[in-house]
Amino acid sequence: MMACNNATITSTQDPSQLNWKDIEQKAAGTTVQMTMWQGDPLINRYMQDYVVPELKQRYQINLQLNTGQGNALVKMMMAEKESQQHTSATDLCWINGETFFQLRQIDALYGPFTQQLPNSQYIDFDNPFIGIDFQQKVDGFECPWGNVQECIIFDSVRTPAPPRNLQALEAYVQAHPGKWTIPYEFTGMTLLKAWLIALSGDKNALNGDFDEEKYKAASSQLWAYINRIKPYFWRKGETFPENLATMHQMFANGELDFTLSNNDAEVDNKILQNIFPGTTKAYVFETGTIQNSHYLGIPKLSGNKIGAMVVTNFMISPEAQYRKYMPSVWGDGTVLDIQKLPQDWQLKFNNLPERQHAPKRKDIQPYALREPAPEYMVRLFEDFRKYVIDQR
Amino acid sequence: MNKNAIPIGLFLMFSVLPLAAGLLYALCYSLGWVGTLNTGFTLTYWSATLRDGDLWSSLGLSAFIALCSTALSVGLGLVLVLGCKDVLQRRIPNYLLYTPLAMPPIIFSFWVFQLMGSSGLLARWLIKTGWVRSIDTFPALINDRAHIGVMVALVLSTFPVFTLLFLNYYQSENIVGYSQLAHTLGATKRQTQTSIILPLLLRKAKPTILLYAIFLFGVFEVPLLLGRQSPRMISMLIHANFNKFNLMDLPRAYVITVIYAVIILSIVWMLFRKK
Repeated sequence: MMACNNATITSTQDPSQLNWKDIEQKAAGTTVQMTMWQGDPLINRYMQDYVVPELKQRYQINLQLNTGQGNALVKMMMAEKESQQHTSATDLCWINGETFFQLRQIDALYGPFTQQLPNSQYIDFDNPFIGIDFQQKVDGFECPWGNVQECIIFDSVRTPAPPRNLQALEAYVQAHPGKWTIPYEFTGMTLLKAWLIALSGDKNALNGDFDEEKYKAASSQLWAYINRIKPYFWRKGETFPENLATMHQMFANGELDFTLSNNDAEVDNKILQNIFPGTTKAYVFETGTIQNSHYLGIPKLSGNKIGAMVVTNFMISPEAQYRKYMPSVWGDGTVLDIQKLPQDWQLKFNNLPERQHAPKRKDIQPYALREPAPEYMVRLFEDFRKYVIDQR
Repeated sequence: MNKNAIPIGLFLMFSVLPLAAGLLYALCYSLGWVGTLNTGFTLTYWSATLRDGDLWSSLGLSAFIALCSTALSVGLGLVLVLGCKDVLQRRIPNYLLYTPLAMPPIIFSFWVFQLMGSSGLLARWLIKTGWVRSIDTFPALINDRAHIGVMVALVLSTFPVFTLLFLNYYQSENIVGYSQLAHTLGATKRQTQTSIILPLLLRKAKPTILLYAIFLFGVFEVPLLLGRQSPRMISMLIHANFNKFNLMDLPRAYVITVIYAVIILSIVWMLFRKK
């Protein structure tokens, strides 16, 4: 009579009072709805072909992947809150700093929960690139999943000596009109944050809370610089691509000499997918680029927090992180502190096949800049439009 | 019970009520009455939005694109009907006219993108034939300031509608008969076209033309792919405001949706009240 399908059972119990063994036991047989960006075939393959079957086999958890990210996710949770729903449509979501900021703003995240995950022992939460997201302490409300640094992608044959600072870029665009642009989206604005920090004169200048005076001083220089070189941009700077896929496509067909990526290893997996030519490489400006982490968060209204925690714990396990780190799989930087890992895993991580086209992590780490407070992103988005796009 | 009560009730329930509820919700949100982050009644969002030049330039641009695209589509449809009515009534040409009606606007956008983009078919052909030196010198026809790409996609998707409409009216309004009569009374071919056929077709098609212009005023998919950031169509402005990083800007998106709805409803009411 009780035609009960295990795959649809969810656990609504509050996990904060349970030990990990109980959590794993109660999570068995449940379904976890995960919402994530699904725009990259390699990432989708990693999730569908590795994470989903492993969770099923090890914990009898049925992980279902749903498409959604950033703003859509925030809107969904706002709507759930405003309509006073008791259970969210999602149990686990892949979030970045700006989404974390928004979800904390509307108090939609469950936590703190990360200290209960056994594998969190391998994460160094004191590392500012891990434990602080957009100048906001994660405080256990999101679990780091991957760590990346923004890179500029170029073709080493077409552009043997790419510009490494703002002065060199100005000279380059003047000599090669139409071959450079800044996408008017997250990656482009992240590049502008790095330039803002560079123009502030100190890599730590924008750390801490948003500072209007500092922003005004640096941004006025930034807009002056961009407007000075804008006539040499793609389409004379009269329009800007609004998504990175378009920019990648224009780079691949030779319309642009550069594209960008927030993931320093993306160049390798794009070559493996035959999207970029084999001579493509990635680098960072000598004034630095933003390094940040991406995270997993559990909605406050999740009906299966226990299952979501078990899934999260698996996704930060050395083996799941190791597999994700491989360029042929995804090439996403690990959030684990290699020194904290058992000896055999340290050996494995240290002997990973080197990235072929991406810069070595240890070479770009000295140029890593922390994400400034979220208000900088808000202002850059608005002011780029006001002071660059609308200026003719 | 009035025999019209059920259909009217259904219409109100499934069409008017959700629209009215959505508009009321948007109005309440824009005034700070509802919404997670709103704290109470305020006119701040309304005054900030009304003072923003973006809103007015977007409304102006949308009206310009809607009027130009409608005029071009209607013009093209009339030229085709007046010039090759007999050919268009044959099976294959007629079938070809119906085919675009089954295509969503986003498909036309992709075609135009692939055809008119800097690395598209037209650019490649012109470079190959030596008319254009390189990709860089090919003029911007999509994401361009004049919104040429947007208008081309809109005209491609709408002119078959008007062509078919005019063909049908040609028969249903007995235009052949009136033309023959005018001819018998000594009118020239040109006089018959400008004084008989065109006024008859346009008067009959006027409500459809106006509704299409209103539809094109708020079109979304086409400018999403082929438009540009500044100036941008009203649909793009609303989309951008709903997707802003700063959640405190969300009520401003609702302000724009309310203004947009009020404009459209006012136009519809003014145009059709006599009917």
